[in-house]
Amino acid sequence: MSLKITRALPELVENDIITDEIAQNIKAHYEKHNINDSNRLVTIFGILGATLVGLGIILIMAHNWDHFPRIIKVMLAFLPMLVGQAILGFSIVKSKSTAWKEAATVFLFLSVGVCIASVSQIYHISGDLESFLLAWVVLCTPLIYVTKSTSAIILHLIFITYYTFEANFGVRTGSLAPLYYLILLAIPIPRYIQLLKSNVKSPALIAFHWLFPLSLMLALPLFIGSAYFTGLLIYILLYGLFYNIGKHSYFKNASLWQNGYLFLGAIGTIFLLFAASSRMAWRMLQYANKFDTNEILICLILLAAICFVLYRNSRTTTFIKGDLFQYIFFIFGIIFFISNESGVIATLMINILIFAIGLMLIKTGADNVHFGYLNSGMLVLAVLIAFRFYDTNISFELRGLLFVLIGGGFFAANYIKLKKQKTRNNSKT
Amino acid sequence: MKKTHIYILFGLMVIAQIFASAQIVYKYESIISPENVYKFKTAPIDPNNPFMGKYVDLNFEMNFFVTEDTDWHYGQTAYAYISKDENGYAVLETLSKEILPNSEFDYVAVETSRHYHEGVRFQFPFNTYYMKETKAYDAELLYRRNNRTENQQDVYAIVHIKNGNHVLTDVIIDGVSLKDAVED
Repeated sequence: MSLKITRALPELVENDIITDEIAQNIKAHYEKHNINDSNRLVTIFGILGATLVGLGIILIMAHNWDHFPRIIKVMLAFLPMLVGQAILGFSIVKSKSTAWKEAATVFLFLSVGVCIASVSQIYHISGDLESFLLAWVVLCTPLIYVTKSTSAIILHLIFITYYTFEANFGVRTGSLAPLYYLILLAIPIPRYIQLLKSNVKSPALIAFHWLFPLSLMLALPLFIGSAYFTGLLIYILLYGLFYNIGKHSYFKNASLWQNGYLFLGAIGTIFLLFAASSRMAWRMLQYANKFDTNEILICLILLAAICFVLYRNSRTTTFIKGDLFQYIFFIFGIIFFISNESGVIATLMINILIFAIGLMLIKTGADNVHFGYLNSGMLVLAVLIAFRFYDTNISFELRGLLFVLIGGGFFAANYIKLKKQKTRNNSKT
Repeated sequence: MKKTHIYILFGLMVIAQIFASAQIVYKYESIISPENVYKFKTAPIDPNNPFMGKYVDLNFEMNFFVTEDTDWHYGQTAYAYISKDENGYAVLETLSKEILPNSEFDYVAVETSRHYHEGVRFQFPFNTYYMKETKAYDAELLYRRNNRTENQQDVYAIVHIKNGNHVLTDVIIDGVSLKDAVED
């Protein structure tokens, strides 16, 4: 785009459309952008290079070179880490470019893992992956603030999430893993807030808008354990929180791809609603009906967080009252408690809710001529119809009757709308 | 953040990173000496760790302690007190729920199962022997074959034990180190 514009400048000046001064300003503006872009490219290649070299060293060390004496093996284990520390130290002292610091950070991060893994291998320590990952992440946490590196935060988030996967295998009661995870998750947040306040929409910041909610979403099973039934409610609350954060005025000009919160919140909610839309799902979930203080506490914290965000959002001009999505957590909460009394009513209400969401999306799409909304609304309805068409829990005649009624409803609605339009057109003429 | 703070934080991080791994090396190096060697007979899998490479899973003959005390639960930490016979093989003296302050024997912290069949089963923590990638599978096969056959050859693990700390240094099959018993 910028190349096209700068190429057209001489012609524009020649035809007196813009002055020479404006042309120079435009050129200078795009040149500055180009320098930024090439810097960014150098940084990205630096990070990629360091990642590949680091991962390569991990694999080479994992080969286990058994003909070296132990002392040599120990020295080799420490070598990549010492090199990484030296390069990072050098780039800090000499105030090197971001590309240097980012690459050195990534390399040091991976080489710390190499060192711990190699030492465990040399002394045949049968430690589990969980404690290995925890030690690794903790030792590299200062990197987030030492270099203000974005890749340090990305690696931190990836590895703490990986840690929760490992910690979740055979969860022991009284495991401190959830607490460790929360503390580790909180550490990069001040840096995240600092970046948010700087108001520069960098690609790194967009990545964080995805990685923070993704990490929470993937780590949540660690907090739920085997309480699947309550887990459903907790997940709906979490997605509700994401969606409402995504609706914050900060994101008002952001596209869906730049707003991980909104995307994950909406997709997650729809996905879970579909999962809970059959009678079978509620029946199965009720076997795992457990509601401990732990789960109640998580629900309350999430609920308080959503209410806070909703309240903050409602005071801004970008707030839309009629957006059904931002209240789904609440409606689902009511259905959830009804399900204890009657699973059939709960299932019916979930289906009505999905239907309403589909209609709402279609209406928003039609009103704003936005095909994204229109198509997603159609997709929601189509999936709902397909699900219910094959739902063996409802008898054929009842399913048939429902389909005919809903189809008839569509015809009637269209007919009434057309008629109204005609009378409006007639009265105009 | 001020530059001096960054320097301090960086310095502390570097020290912590080196110290964390170096203290493991120091801990295990200080155990390895000829006088605290025990031979653990093994009893009758190609496992893989993404960061540490391939290994052989070891099982030991010594894994059961006869006791009338039925108050044991799964995953409980206990202390196996061990002595040596005349050939250097490890002999279980007792299994205790607490560390015995005046015991003359070396001990290893183990994980137990429930009380079952008039005793309690336990597992030693040194059950992972990391091998060169190209040898691990053959070593695993050789190890299993030797542990399964009737006329079992002498297979044991060499473990150094000192002050409750332990380090596995080798697995011997019929007088030869497992890493030399198989070819690349």
